[in-house]
Amino acid sequence: MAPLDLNPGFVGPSAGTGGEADLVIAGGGPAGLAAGLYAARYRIGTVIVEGYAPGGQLVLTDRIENYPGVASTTGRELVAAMRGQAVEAGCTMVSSHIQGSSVRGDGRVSILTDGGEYATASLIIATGAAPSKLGVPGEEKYYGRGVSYCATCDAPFFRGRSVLVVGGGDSAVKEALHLASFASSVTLVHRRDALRAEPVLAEKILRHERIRILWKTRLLEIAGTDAGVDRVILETPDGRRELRMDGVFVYVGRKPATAPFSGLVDLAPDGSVATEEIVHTSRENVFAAGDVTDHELRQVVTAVADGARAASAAYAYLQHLPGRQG
Amino acid sequence: MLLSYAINRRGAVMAVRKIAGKELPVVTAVKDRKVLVDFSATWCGPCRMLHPVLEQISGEIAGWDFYEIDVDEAGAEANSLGIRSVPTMVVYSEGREVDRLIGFRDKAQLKSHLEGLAKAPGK
Repeated sequence: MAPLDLNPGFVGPSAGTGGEADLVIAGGGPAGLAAGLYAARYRIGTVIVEGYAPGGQLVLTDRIENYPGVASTTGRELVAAMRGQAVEAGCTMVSSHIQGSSVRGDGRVSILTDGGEYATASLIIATGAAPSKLGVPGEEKYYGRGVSYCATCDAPFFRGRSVLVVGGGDSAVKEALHLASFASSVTLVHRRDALRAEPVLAEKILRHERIRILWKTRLLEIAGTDAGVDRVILETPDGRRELRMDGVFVYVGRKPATAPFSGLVDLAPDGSVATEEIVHTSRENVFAAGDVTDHELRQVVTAVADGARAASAAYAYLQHLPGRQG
Repeated sequence: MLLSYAINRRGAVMAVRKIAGKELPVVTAVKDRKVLVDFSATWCGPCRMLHPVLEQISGEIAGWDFYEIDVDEAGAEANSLGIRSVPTMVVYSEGREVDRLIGFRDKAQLKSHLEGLAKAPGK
């Protein structure tokens, strides 16, 4: 199978020299790419700063089965199609890394990247989120030697081995199901007594013969040898238990990637961008879309919807700037 | 093998060269240069994101050789090195492992980390 080109039009080392734009979109996941597609069709001069991680979290997702109109696909395929569409529509893709942002004297936003500075009339923040860590002993020490946050990447290393999955949401359940096609046994530990995952996923995992669930259980420690993880220590309703385990996959939520924008817009207590009317932030020319926001539901379909709304809001803002009507 | 080694030694713009697992001891034993080996896989999204970053850095910093090993083709070597995650970048100095980086890193982070390693005494 020929590998999919995730980066059609990838511009390589010369990408990003800074400059002026009507709209900068920070982030190249589903929210940013959908915003780019809509913005380009509004004929807004749009630069998508996708960083060095084009595709966002979607690249790390194995199967997508809840995106309307697409029965089943991989995250990579879906995001590659989105990116191709945004490029085709006329977005300029930039692979620079965003380091910070500020407001200029003329009201425009300055986006500082390692490839130069952008002065933009409007900004859509769509930088997504990164996996949260558990903070238990051994987690950092064994990262890459049994501890992983990406089953899509690392499941094949655990063929015929035992793995633990921590979490009870959609990601934990989806990735436990993915791991079960490689590992000899999958144990999911969840601190509550019911899964938060959507029922169709929960039903799948509950009847899977190679996945067991330990309810009301916390992972206390990950232990091993120089070769990697070999056991975990759990706190169960019946007391502490030590289990032999070759791998630990952590899915305990996500941390919004808002560091470069902390002084630019108001953030919610969890670090996400605080929004009103879905995509508006505390600053009139800055909008937000997708997992970086304080929205409750964080799905591909909500990210792209946010992206479309954010582009529409940016368009309305730009239309009302002096000297731009018509 | 010898030809590409000679090209690398000239230190001009080089790229990330794909090697087989059995070549690892040879390419990492080179003297007076740091060697970064990226253990990667075709099915791994972050690996594909990392590749252009390494390509860029390989053209920007002198004194380094960059290689890529596909863990599916070099399972024995990856296993003996305890690789359980891709991408994993292992840095060698004169045949000895001096650093290991797991997961995707953006260009700025990775470049400054490698530059720091090159300056560190004894590494």
